[in-house]
Amino acid sequence: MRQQHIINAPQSLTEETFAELFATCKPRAHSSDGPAGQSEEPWTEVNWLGELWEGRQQAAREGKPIFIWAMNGHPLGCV
Amino acid sequence: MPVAVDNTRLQSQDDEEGQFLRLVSWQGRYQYSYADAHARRTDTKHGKNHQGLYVTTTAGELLGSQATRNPDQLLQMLRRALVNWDERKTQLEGFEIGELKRRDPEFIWTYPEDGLVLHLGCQDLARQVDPRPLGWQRDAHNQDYVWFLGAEMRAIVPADVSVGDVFFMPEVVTQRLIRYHMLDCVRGETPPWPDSALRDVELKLRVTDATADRVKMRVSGHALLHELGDWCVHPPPSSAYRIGEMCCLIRERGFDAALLGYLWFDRRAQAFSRFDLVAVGTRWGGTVFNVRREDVAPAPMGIAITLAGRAARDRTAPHISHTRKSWQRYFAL
Repeated sequence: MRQQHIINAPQSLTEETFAELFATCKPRAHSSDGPAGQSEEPWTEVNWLGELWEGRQQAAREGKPIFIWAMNGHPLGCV
Repeated sequence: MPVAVDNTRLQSQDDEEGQFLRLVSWQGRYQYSYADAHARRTDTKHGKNHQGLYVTTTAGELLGSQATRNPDQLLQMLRRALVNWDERKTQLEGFEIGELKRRDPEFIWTYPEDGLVLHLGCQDLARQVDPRPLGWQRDAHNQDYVWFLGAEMRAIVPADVSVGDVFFMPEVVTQRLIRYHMLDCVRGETPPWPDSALRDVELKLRVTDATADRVKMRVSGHALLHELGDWCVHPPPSSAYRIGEMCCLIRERGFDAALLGYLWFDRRAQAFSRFDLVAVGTRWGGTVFNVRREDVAPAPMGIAITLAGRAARDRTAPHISHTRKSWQRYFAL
């Protein structure tokens, strides 16, 4: 089990520390955060499509190339 | 046309969508000719990783490819791809690409329209003693989505409750939150906790306000999670060994956390208007892909969960849902 001696103890989670810890840990790419162009995560300002076939269809309709970001896990979720 | 996709699913997906990803990635990541990549595109048992950054025509003619975290290198690749785009040999038009005739049934799941969709963030918290070098691993943070079906969501709030009532979170909700989402995914993906890893878990709700229109609750509890294993991690870049020649074994992982949150349920809308939950505690160890090889000692980590937004990307499925089996396990179907 876990080592008994912990050098780096976590901050206490209480009603007083809740707001600060929530702000620290909440998803930085949350879509309700600020107007477009001011995001903490610039990649969220790109209008990514989340499905490859839909992207291929749309690129064909608009006469564009496809830029694919393929990760183990979904890049718009957890990778 | 920017497209972000789950390679874990697509590299094995047995339909035209999976074939298109592999057609491109065999050319880009593995540098096959178009003809050779086309011949291999239907193979779903290839055993190779196809993740990467690619630019392609709609016919699958590779225009650019680069595996990098460096934005300048990515920009250079995109510029080269645009030059190649001007000299392309192929591009299918809209009428030539219809709907998928068949979707691989192993990779179908459905967004819970009347359910509860949450957005999760996780990251390491401040350390009193911090020998970690500067770099992305020190500043890393990650996210995921959490899904509950409509019936599961409504079960969180009993029909008749009064201020001061205290009761346990429904077991299915506790299990989903703890096993699938109290994870150290700060630097990369990690598997869910097996049932045997839940050593001491409790989540209680206390009603703080109740009217005909709404119920406000405070949720609190703890989770002690511990698992032994043999996770084989790649050797460090400074090692004389290459990937596959040597394992750095990690033997355990754990998370000892306190949880606290505030939930507001709108009875008329039958939906939560607030679902803010924080878990803070000590994590240790690691698994194959969560990049803890040099950071296995106990250290503080935080996880925060809140209502997901309404953007298209907020419909992204939870990380665990790679296959039908994992999907069924997630929802205990």
